[in-house]
Amino acid sequence: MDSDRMFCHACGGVWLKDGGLTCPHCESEFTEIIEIPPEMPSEASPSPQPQAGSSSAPRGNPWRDHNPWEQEESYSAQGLGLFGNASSGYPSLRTYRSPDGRFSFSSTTFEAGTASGQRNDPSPIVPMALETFGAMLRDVDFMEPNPRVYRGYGEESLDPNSSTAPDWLQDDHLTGHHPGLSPRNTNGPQSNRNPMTITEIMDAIRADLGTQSMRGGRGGRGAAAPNPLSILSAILNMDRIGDAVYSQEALDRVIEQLIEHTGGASTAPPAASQTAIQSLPRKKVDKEMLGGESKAECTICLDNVELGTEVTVLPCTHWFHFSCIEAWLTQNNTCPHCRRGIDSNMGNGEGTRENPVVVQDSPEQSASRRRHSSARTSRSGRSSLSSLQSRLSPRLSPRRSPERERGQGGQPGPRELSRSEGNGGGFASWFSNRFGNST
Amino acid sequence: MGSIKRISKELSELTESPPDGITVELADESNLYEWKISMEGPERSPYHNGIFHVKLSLPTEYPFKPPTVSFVTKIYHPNITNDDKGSMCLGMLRADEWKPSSKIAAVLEFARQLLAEPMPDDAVEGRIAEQYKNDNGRYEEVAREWTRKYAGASQ
Repeated sequence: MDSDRMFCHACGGVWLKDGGLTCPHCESEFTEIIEIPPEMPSEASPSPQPQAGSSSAPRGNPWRDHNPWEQEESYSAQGLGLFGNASSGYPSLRTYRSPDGRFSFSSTTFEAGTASGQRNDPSPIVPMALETFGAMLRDVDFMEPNPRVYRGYGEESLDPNSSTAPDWLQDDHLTGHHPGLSPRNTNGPQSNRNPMTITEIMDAIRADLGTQSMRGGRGGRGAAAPNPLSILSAILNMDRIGDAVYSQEALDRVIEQLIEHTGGASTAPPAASQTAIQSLPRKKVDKEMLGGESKAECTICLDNVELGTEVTVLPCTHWFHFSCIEAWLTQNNTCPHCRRGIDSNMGNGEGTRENPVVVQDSPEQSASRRRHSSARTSRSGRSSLSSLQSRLSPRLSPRRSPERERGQGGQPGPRELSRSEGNGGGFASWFSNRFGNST
Repeated sequence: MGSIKRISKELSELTESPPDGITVELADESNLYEWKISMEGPERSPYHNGIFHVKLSLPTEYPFKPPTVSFVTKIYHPNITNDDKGSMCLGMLRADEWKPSSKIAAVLEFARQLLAEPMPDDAVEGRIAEQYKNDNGRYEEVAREWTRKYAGASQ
């Protein structure tokens, strides 16, 4: 069809495609070909039901029945009235405007004058949702404007102060009158579908972003093909308030980091600190510890232990040679026999690397713990990590006392500490690298 | 090395009074860390009358790290990989469940017990586990056949 038109997104100009792809008004190349849909047989139908014809159309090409100029006065002059027969239906136009006036959207609905009085009234809710979402995306300047994304029109020029806003659009939402071109009328494909769930809406967004990145050439961001869910999470986390992640990828990274924190590839309990090991009580084996027998064995080296031998006693009352238990505790902070944490007399999970044993008679230790704690209280995300960690692996840090909760993770063990300071704070730094530091 | 002392102690205990149906020797007299085990298939299991050769490797960190158990003899079992490694999946041998106080004798007894009572919910061979649960007769049939074929069962 030779009557395809061009629409300029920069100035809002409209011209015939024959006039070239560059806007003759402003020389902009940010233009769009608007195809005139082929004539439909229903046009000649004696009882025109434009909207019904539209909704029964195959979904393969949702634009097939779409007529962007159904409201345009000059349209009839073209002699291509697909929906132009206004007498057959009652176009009703609604303009919604956001409370702050920053954006607006319109919906045009047709009420077909069928005998049964059936209405083919596309719900404005869904287009509204999509447009709102589109406006959000633009609002945060996270991606380049893409005229195809949300199929509503007008997002480009939502800001009335924008110098590039076409006059007709401003007129539109100021007067409520719908004067002319509406290349992205909300009566389009959305009316054919009924995406009721957020999943479907997300799918639509994902699909559109997919097309965008496939088309490429839209700048670095488009080419990077960001996960739409990540974008969403970035939007929702602009102020980084929660500890939620919104994509499998992000979740994987969090988990990866947790695994790293809990001792590399091994899922074994983390090591106890040297201080904690050294501070374990030692005593000479007495009759009670031997359980009435004359001798027992250290279950690590299997050597006999006789009365009077000095052993190290864990809080769970299991005892071992110091050298034996030391070798174990440098890899794990639990009793090798019953797996209770070596600090389990406290019952709150001390002794993990995140929260090592506090030695009552060691003032330097607790002082340094406090220092480290306060140093990281400002790191958002840290406490989230800790709580996630304890959720994922309750054994590591079953419960925290209120005091520790305030400390946001307590004192890190030596290894973990150096890593945190090396890269600026584990999860938090990852988070800010990924989503931009907005704090 | 404390571990050498412990290993030789365990070895001598195991050779002196081996657990039921299990014999233990070193694969190489000069290497305490590789053991050669022969395990009789438990009675009332499809592995009965089979002799299964099992390799037990001790890490140098033993007893702080768990040994690994692998079946040299091919065996049809939900918890033993059906490849040339024949790795056995034992909960107690996982790094996070291993206790230094567990002895090799206990590991071996546990392994033999697993022959008698597979744990299909903790399987490494999902297909065999399915069969074990849903078509036990067929599972036993195949397991018996493999035992005859690979474990030298005379029957």
